[in-house]
Amino acid sequence: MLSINIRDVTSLAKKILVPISVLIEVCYTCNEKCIHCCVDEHKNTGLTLKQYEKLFDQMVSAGTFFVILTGGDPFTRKDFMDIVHAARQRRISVTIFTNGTLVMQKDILEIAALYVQDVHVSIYSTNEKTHDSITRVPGSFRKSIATIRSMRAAGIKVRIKCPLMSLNADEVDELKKLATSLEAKIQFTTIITAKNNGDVSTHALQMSERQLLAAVNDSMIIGSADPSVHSRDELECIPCDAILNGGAIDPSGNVYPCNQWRVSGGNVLKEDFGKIWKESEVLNALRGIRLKDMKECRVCDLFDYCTRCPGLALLEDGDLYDCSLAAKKVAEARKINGVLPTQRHIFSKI
Amino acid sequence: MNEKHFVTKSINISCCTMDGTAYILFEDKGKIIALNETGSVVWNLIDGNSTIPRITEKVLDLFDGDSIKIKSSVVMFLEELLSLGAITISSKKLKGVMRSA
Repeated sequence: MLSINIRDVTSLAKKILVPISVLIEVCYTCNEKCIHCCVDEHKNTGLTLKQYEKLFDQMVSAGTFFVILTGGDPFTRKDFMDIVHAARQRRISVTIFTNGTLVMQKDILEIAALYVQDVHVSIYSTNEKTHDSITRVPGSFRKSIATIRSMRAAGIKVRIKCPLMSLNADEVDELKKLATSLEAKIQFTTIITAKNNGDVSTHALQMSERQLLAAVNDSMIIGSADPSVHSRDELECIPCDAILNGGAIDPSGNVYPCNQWRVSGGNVLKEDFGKIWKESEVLNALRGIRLKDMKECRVCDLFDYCTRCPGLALLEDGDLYDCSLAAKKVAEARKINGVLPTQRHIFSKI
Repeated sequence: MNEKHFVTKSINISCCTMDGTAYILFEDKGKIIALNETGSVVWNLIDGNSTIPRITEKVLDLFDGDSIKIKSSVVMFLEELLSLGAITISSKKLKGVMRSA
């Protein structure tokens, strides 16, 4: 028996094309109506429990180690805990993304008993009014915070997820204090993504230039590498590792490289998940994309600072090879502050 | 541990098998271990419905060699997994599913 770190496991998965960490959107239904949400239509109620059980069997055969179960909000499904149970019965590691408002005490006890790895709860502000104005559900802040407290009391690891936008970016210090007081981790993101249908109206919510510069200077929000983890000389590097060791499945069963890179390689209701992952012509074509094919990136003076997501670039203007304007804004702020990215999975060597 | 006991992967672990190697994550400790080739085969025979003799029998079907030594190695390996908390033993079969890769 050999102790091994997670990076070694994911590196091997990348080499041998194993979808080691897969995000599953179990529904698009949600009780909140967040102003920045990437989901364009909150109707899809997802696959049946039996279909997820079959999918988990296929994932075990494909080598999947981790699943992230998300929505919509997954707890809008009455059978959501049965889905969690089905994954854990197969000893797949589970992380749950939720807004926390629909989680019952019995769910919390079950999550703890099933050793769910961690639960990520969306909190947008320390100010109840601001948070509720973002979720557009009065009372949501109190419910989410109460859930975090109950989860922590049950010994569940909680990570607060907070996408920074103009409405909340000046509250970073207060949000960190809130997380500390709740004994939770906190993760900020700096990009408000386009909606899944390509609608970029959400970009209007992005942080101001001043806020973005401040965020980039905060090592807890954006890590800093030295030297750069990217090299423009590596012409054979790929846009993102997700196409090799990731995977995402939407509530209709479509398989994507990632929930943001929404090019479907097949559907699990028609084909085996592992077969889709390894043999899909569409996914294999995406695996052929190299930095040398991305003419703008190759010559861009922001290259060293950029964490361009190929999926977001595609969503923004329909071009997989083009610049991502959302990533460019962050890269500009990074360059001004001399903050190099740490994301090794972007522009990654094979 | 006796011959009538059923062996189950503990609920506090997660696991996967890649390229013939089984990886076990202890969710409560955040620690990952990789098993060797034989250990990985034994690991994937643990389904909550097999007793130690049944697992040993299946291992003997898969590997040539001294059956007494193999049986003893399997038991030692299971004892090690038990001491690590990676498996539990029970006099009852597991209810529900535990798939092996």
